[in-house]
Amino acid sequence: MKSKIHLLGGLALFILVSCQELEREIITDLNKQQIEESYTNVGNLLNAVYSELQEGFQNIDGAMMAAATDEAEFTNETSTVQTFNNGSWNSISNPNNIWGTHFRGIRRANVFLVSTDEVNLDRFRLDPSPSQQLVYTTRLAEVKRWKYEARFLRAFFYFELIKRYGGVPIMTTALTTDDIPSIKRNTLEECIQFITSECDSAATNLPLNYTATNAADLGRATKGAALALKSRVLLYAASELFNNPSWAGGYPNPLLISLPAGDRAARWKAAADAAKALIDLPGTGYALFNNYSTLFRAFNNNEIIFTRRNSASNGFEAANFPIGFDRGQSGTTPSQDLVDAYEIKVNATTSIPFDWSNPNHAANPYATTGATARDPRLALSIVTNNASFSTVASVKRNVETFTGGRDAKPIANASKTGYYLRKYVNEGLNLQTNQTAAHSWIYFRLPEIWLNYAEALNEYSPGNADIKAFYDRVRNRPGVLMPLLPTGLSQAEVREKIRNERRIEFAFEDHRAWDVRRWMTAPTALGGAVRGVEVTKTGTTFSYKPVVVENRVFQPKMYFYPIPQGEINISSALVQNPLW
Amino acid sequence: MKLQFYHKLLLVALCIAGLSRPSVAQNAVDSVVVVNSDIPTTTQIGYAKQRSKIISSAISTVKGSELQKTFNTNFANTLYGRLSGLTVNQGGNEPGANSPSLSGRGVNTYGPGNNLLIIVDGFLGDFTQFVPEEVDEISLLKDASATAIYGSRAANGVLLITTKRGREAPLTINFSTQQGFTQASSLPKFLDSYNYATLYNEALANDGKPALYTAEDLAAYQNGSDPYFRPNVNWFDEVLRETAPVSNYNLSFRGGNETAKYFVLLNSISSQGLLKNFGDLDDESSNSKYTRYNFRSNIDVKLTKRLSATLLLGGTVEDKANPAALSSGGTFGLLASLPPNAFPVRNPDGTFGGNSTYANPYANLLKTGYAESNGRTLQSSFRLNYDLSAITKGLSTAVAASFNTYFSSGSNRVKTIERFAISKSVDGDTVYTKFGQTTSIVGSEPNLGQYRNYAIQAFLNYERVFGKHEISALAMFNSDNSTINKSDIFAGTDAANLSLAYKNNAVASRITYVGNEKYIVELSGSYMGSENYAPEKRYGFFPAASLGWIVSNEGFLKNSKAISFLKIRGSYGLVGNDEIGGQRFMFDQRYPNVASYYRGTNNNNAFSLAEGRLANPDVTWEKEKKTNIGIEATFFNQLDFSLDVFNQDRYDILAVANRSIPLVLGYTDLPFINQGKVNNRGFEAVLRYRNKDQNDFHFFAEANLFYARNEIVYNAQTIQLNPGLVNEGRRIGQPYGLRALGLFQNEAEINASPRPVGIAVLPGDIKYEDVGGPLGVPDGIIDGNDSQPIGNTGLPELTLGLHSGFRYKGFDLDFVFQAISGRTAYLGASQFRPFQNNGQAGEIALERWTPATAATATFPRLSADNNLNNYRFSSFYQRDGSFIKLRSAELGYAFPSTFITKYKLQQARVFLTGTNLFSLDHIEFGDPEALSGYPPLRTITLGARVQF
Repeated sequence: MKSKIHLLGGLALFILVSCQELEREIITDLNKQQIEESYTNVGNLLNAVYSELQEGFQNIDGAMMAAATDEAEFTNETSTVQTFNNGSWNSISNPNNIWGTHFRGIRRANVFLVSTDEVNLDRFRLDPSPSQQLVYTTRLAEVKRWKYEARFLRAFFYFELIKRYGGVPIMTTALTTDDIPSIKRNTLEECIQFITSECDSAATNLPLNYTATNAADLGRATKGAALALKSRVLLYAASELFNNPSWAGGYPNPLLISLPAGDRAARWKAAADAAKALIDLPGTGYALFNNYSTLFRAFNNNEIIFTRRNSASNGFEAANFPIGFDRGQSGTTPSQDLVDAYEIKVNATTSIPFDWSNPNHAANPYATTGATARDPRLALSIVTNNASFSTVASVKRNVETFTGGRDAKPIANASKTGYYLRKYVNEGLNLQTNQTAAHSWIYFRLPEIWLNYAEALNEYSPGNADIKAFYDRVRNRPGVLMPLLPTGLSQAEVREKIRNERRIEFAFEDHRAWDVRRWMTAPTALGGAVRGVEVTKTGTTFSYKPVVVENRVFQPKMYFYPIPQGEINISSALVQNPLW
Repeated sequence: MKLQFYHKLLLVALCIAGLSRPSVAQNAVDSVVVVNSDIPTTTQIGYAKQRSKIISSAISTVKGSELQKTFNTNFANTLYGRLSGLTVNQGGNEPGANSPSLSGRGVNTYGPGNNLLIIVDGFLGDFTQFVPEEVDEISLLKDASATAIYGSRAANGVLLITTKRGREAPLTINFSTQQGFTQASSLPKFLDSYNYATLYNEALANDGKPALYTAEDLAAYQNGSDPYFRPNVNWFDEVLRETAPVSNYNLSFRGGNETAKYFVLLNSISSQGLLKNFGDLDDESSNSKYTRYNFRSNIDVKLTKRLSATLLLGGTVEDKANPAALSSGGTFGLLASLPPNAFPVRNPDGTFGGNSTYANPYANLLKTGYAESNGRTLQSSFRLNYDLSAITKGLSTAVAASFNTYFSSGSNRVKTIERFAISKSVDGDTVYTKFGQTTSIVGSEPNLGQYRNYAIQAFLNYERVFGKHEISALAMFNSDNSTINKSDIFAGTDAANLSLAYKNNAVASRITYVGNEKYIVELSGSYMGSENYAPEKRYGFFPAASLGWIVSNEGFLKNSKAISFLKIRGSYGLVGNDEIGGQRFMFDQRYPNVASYYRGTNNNNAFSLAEGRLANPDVTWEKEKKTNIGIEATFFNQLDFSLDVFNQDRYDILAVANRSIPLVLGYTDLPFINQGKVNNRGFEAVLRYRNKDQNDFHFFAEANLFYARNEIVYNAQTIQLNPGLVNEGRRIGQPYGLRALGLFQNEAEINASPRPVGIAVLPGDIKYEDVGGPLGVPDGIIDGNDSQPIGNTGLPELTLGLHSGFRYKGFDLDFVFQAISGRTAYLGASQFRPFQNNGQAGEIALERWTPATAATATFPRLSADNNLNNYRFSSFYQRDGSFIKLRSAELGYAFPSTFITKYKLQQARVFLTGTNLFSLDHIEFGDPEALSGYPPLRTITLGARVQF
């Protein structure tokens, strides 16, 4: 008996001891080393950097950034985009708080850049067969190119940050929590130098396009994208806002929000040269697309330099279709101010501004033919009263924004401006059957580079023949064909022409909010009254009257965004922007 | 089929009864009629029993025999108001899906895990499927001293369930049965078609739209002259029955001798649902039913003089069936929104009515198949005890192993059915418009959940008395390994890792010293670890100490007649809570897939990998410092009183590092850091009276009171400009919403008041208080910035249990009340949202605002469209959720022994039991704990029990 008990006791002890290990049974996730060794996984790390590129269709709480400018008004009153307009946004509640997301993209790029050094290609390198050696050399080259893609993307995120926040901390490695005390804002000048030098190295090493290698690579950053970013950065650097801290009321750190005093002409020349470098770049194949409408629903044409796309969807259409169309929610609705900016094409050589006090203009403000015909881009970008909407036969009809119409007040959530958005909107989608399509948010397209060039040139070399040449190119698109730049205009007049052309050509493309800041015309463009139109139907005729939709607030501090308060609370080295 | 089974069971029982000879042992009588709830002389504590008098920690206890006077398919529902410090919050009501939520001493963490640790016979387990007849005792361990031995799982309190064991006595056989019915104790009340249509027209007028129903329509609704085109259907009547049968059969055997002791139990309980017997009407449907069979076999064997063994086996088989779907939630959701005039049950041609928005609930239950589930539970443990008094007197050792498992599989039979909307064409013909499609039945056999737990334990026990000094000591080792994918066990557990086992190891010890039967010192602690943390962070130490002083044993009180017993005790210690939720192995940096990028000429999805939420290598369990001071007293040998006051400081609760890691570092998600703090304090009091045994009249009453209030001390919330939205300083689960200031009476008032933008506000709409804005000050706009703390949480702050009864001659009466206060009920169900989302209207709509009733209205004006102002989350729909419920009442009669001995019985008793008989509360529209979904049930049964 005793021996049995001892046996039992021994057995029990054995069981106990053997169970004492407290180790994880399964490692459930890939660890860093597994990822870094793998060519595919490292490639996927880069994809995650790309996926931080933000499209601008509905990114401000459902609205486009245009709704925070004089381009448009957002229909939903409770969207936080309205706080941009009523002036109640601040360092705690910012409807366009990209601080976290863009620094996340930067960190991902930094993590990726380290990982590229670890990719293990020995399997191919050590295999002497020619096919495997080809794989090896191809992949080696690819990994090298990836680095420059990531560096371009990091520079892009940095530019998106500095145009909002001024100088921000430049980080080229993935920092840890131990580094928090050492994180300080770099000066605006340092940031601009960093971005341009990154663009230069990326441009040197990135290909002109990917058609030669792999159709699946369309959409990766190219040489053109890097040069386009450089052109934009240097244009901003030469512009008024970055050279004039006087608005900041004695801010003790002017170098965070402006460049040191220097040769403005040289800055404009640098901007012009950067644009010209891309324009003159051989072999890109960049050319104006012949359709100003489908351009904005495409991702594969010669005008696009860099774009970001999504899976097929229809959320943007549902949000922006006129209220009288199934599932339509009105969304971002164009303002009268923008509509008024479209010129009248009197004839093939003469264009004049639209004028409400001219009875011919006011009687038929959306004319497409005749002596009061508007710039064709109006009808291609904006849905006006009695214009046809939708290309789906069962849905198609004329939009009724006249008082009492099917798409007008007093219907709840009808457009407050009397207009609806057409640019970007895919009218071919039948929302009743939940049709979807891919969307493409274009960051850079050729006309921007032309207008960057013309604008910079006009500032330091007024009268240069290239100004008219490139301004004219933008207006000479098939289907647009607006009269060219008249000769004999003063520098200021040309400046206004170029600025208005940017406004029209790039309407809703998230340029306006930043252009008016860098021109320092924001107090009038972003503040004050924004107008809509009141349409009255009498019999079969319509009459139009502009009305004020909203009075907006713009204070000088809004030239830049405030640094998020939570960041300042944690790290006091992050100095707040002026007047916030 | 099931009915036959019952008959067989009954037959078996009777056979055994006939065969067994009546026993003569007097002291072997089971406490069938427990009128006096005597204090047990010993109480179950962690891994041991202790004399109740020398307990120096906070424990409340109830005997299983006291929980028998009720009819519940879920054992946890017998605990309402029974254990001081235990909050039992009614869960669902559907048989088989009716577990209440249990919490010990209120809510102590805002983290995901506030669950009690459930220990069944010494091991992790589940007790909700038990029957009271198999339970010996339930103890709630509350303070640090009682729970420290459970280390990192102890902080939320521990509920110990001990099952019955055999004893040294001749065999006694108990047989009992209960037969009765359940019914809905309240159903939501909706308007009939006439009132619905009348108010709908009013709602349309309020919205500025023309009326939909003509005077002719309204007349037809009123006199029912057009049942097809102007129907008036009470859908609850169509699919529910008044009462549903319930039954229970229980048979147990108990006895033993010096060598072997046994307790064996068989039980069969069934509760049929409130749905009509659709299975009898259609072969492809099923009756609604819930049946469970329990068995238990607890055996203690003395193998040698020093070695003994215990084998505990308990199991259940649970069968559930419902027409259409396993849960009736969808059916009750549809019933609560379908207007009475939408369509008739059947059209003139016999097809089922229906429209594009709504299916036909009757057709759904009859013609869309059925679902069944079958769950099996086995809880088993084996233990060897060895007396080591050969080494030194009082020393013994034990090893134990346990395997608990649960598996539930489903069987679904699904099809869809067409329905037809009818209308009149221009020339008077009936036009049928078809919706849906009739398909053939398709089956699937899903796995509904499983759980398994292996554990081993080893013990070294020492118990000895040296003169006036009594010492008991315990050292033990525990290792367990649980696999869970039963989602209701660990709330907040990451689904992807559910099937990974949870492993825990612990060594624990307790030493109790009692000096002179006056002074008690107890030290206990546990060194416990889990593989969920970084290797160097896996183990932690959880110590506790308690002191007790039995004042009544001091000379100055020894001879007091008034004070029969008096003890003062206090405890302090550190315990942990391992249920931290979130991702498993948070110490390890993950690289998950993130949002894809789209690329290529075909716009292909390019997979993305990125650094995930920042790992926290220091992640650890929540900790709590518990302080408890208690007093126990007995006066005149018949009045017991006890009071416990506690203060619990929980810390190291996980919270996102919002206030310590800046976004500029670019982490995908900020890590969870052990940084949150919560304070919880309160008291428990118990008062128990029993009259001295005199004559034939016995009376007792027991009341327990429990109060707790918690406060979030720190939770690293992101910066809030509006003070109304700050969590710190407020309670866990505090509702935040708009404060309603009444109803707007006129346009002038509206124009002078803050109101939401973009929403037309009319007289009769709710007026809200403007307390915040984007700048942290009132901005004249009502929006989310105006949220502020409103009302109480859904869990009570104060719980009162009252258990009382008497026995006179053969008659006895026993009842349990549960009363709670400091709780808010929210009228958010569809019966309180008339016409919203095309729904029907509850009777509350009759109290609406109209210009005529402006002064007295208690409900806003009606709108036919979805109203964005009136149905926001606000104090307008909060009601005092306090109630007093009669949880159970039993009236019994025990036949006199002179009579039953003729039939060779030891005891015979008949009894009438009512469960959840009524509720006194402030809500006129239903039960404050169940305002939507499956209705609360009242059960009435007639029972008989015999003992041989």
